[in-house]
Amino acid sequence: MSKELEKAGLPVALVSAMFPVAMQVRANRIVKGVSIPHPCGDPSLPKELDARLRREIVRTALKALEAEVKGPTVFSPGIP
Amino acid sequence: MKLEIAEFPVKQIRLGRRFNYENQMLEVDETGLIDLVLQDPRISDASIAVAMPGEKTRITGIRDIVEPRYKVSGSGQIFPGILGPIEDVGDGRTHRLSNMTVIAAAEYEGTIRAGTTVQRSAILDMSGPGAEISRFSSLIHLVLNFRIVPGIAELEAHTVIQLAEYKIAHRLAQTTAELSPEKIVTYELGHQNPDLPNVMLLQGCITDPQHVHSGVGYYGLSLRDSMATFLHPNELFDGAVTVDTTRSGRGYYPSTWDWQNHPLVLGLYAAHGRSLNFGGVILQRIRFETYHGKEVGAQNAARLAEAMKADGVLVTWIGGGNAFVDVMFTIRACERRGIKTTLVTYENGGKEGKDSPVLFYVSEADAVVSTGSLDRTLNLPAMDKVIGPYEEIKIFPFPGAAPVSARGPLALEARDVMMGGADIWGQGAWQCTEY
Amino acid sequence: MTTIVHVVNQFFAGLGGEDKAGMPVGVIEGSAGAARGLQLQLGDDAKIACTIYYGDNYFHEHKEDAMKAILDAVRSAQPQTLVAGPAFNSGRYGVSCVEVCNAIANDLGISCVTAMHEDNPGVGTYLGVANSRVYCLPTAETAAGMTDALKRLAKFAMRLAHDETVGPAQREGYIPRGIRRLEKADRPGAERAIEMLLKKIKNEPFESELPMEVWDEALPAPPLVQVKDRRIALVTTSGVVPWGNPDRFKTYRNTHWQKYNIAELKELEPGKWETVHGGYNVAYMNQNPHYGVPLDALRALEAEGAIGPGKLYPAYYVIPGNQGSPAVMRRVGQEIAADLKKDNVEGVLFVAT
Repeated sequence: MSKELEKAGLPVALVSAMFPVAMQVRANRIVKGVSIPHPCGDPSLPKELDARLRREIVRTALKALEAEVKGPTVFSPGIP
Repeated sequence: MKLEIAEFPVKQIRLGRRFNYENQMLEVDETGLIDLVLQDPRISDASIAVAMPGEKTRITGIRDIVEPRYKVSGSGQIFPGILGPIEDVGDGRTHRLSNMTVIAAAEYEGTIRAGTTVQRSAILDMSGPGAEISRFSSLIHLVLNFRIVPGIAELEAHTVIQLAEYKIAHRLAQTTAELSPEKIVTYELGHQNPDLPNVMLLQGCITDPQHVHSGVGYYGLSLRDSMATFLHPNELFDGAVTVDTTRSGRGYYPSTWDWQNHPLVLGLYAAHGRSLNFGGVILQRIRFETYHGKEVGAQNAARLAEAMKADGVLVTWIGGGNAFVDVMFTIRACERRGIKTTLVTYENGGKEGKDSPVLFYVSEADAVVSTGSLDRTLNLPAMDKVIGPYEEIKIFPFPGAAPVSARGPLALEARDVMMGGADIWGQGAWQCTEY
Repeated sequence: MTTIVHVVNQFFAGLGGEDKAGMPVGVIEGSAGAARGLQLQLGDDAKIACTIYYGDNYFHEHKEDAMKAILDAVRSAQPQTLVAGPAFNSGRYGVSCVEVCNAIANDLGISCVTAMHEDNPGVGTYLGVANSRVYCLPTAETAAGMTDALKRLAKFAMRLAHDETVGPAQREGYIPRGIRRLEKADRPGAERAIEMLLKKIKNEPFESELPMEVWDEALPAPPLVQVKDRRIALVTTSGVVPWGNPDRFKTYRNTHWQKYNIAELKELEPGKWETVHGGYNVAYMNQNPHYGVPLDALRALEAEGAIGPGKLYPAYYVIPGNQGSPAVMRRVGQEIAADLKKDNVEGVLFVAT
């Protein structure tokens, strides 16, 4: 699905825990999600840290949208 | 460990007033069985019916299917940790009533709305196109049709269903306790021939570790975040591995019957000492929810196979979706250690077979047996008789779905709601061929 | 008498080389050029009613006109089947052969056969149309393999002309179209598996029943310059929807998508949202839908200026992704893309579960 968005000329930052699958289907800007049932955060963290992690993931996604890539590239959110 | 399985084939079931097995006819004490079930106060009413292959009958509300078995000698009893004490099983002698099953058909609404842990039940047609597909339609079924009292949460509901069906199955098989069998098959793994390759079965099992029942019971204990473990195949014959009955009513999950009659285990046993040495079974938890977990689980299973000196493994799985990624990582991990693999799997591929058959590939998965597809449409005709708790069924499990009449006809998008809709482990000859 | 039409390019009709690639569609009665070779292979079993030709460039540059002319000519001839090519490794020719066969099969309901080398780009087109009435035989890379190709084309064409059942690709020798049919093998899967594994262990040859798939490349879309000045939207397959599932999403195999308003929202309030999805444990998402629709984080980034004011699209798009068929997901992707572009969205944050 994300490839159709990209074919239409829209850069896509794909947040997914299953980045090997994303790479195999040749998604180009892949942001490592935390886990399949909760890609944008970690419920085992205290609320404030979880929210901070989420902001970091979204920030990384924005950076990915600004990045020049040649093919499938994985972006890892830093530890906030 | 040597297990003798004594076979008592059943060609007819009569609902009568006593328990008796003679000339392949099983007579059952109908009221006795119902009383047995109603001993559980969480069951509000129950009835029993028999469904024969070829009848224009549809069974609804199916939660699980089990073959009646009973141990007459050896350690432990069938379904250790559930019906029997937690003890070793897999030796001595076990009686089985073959060609028949007990089906647990229960009315239960559940407390969970959506997600992987929502309760579901399936249907089975005894004739017509649905019967052609399912491995269960050629067996005779004693259907236990009952209702669970309202307000029961999922784990308790599972216990209610499982105990009812297992107790019935146990009582039926016990009918043969003093009888001499027509046939005995002996299962043992001694005598490894050094000239033959060692082959193991690597069985991946999808689990929901957060749910009250993860989906795989091992001696009655839910397998959660565990690493792979070794099983002697005889343990499967005596019911050491069981299912979550609130969620196994679906086309691509095994029933208890499938664990008791695992076609790959039986196939490897048949070949043992002839073309291979059967090295046993590795039970592997799959569908870890992070990439890290999937890779650790995969390599661990491969390492266990290596430690057990496997030359090759048959790999198969239970599940759908991203659990398949675990399976592929496992195949890669085995092949990189020099252990040859062959995968047995069903496919998706959409209604016309033009979509991707599976979710994910690794280049090492170069030996795959296809057991057919879950995805093709199926038009089931109207049936004369419906057995089970539901007069109306929901073909699509989503919040707010509209029910349709169970008597049919039913236009199915895919085979998820049919028991045995996908031939997950290669019991039958279904296959997808490339055109 | 069985009637066949043969479609070739200008070169194989004997009318000239690259310099004549702009020739329009023409029809020669009977067989001409390579079609004569085909007629030779067919012998007395069938007659080539006519040879249709076109310049490779003309076909691609005037496709509508070319197709119409070809269709008209084939309709007049009323053949039982149609042969196109062989195209060997000529890309434009290979692609046109498949497109012609596809159009004729759909329009006239007759089966067609073409032939080319496995690496010909036309094979990609062939896999894309996946038409159960269009077959492609593999050939050598160059016209040195002409006689062999024509021999096999003749035999195959005769079977199609007589409406014979064509078996699986492996057995019949045509390039598989990726159409997988549910059938019964001669032995149970468990038996086939043990046999396959033993062959593999002994290094003996075996055939896998499921070929590997190679995914096609999508060239990366160019990056956004200064993302804070760009309009971005959120799309998710997590299945987070307003409480009550007003648009009746299923927990699997969905075929439609929706967008839900978030314009006035600073975050997703607990109790107002639920997750419809059958493929993962939705407990976390239900407790905190921000795991799939990170609105709280997006608003925070807006506040600090990383996302420009008014640049976050006022709705998020959702389709629960469980067991979505790739064909459906492709269509959904195209529809969402069109919707996004209509509203001048420039980049997408896509959250998958």
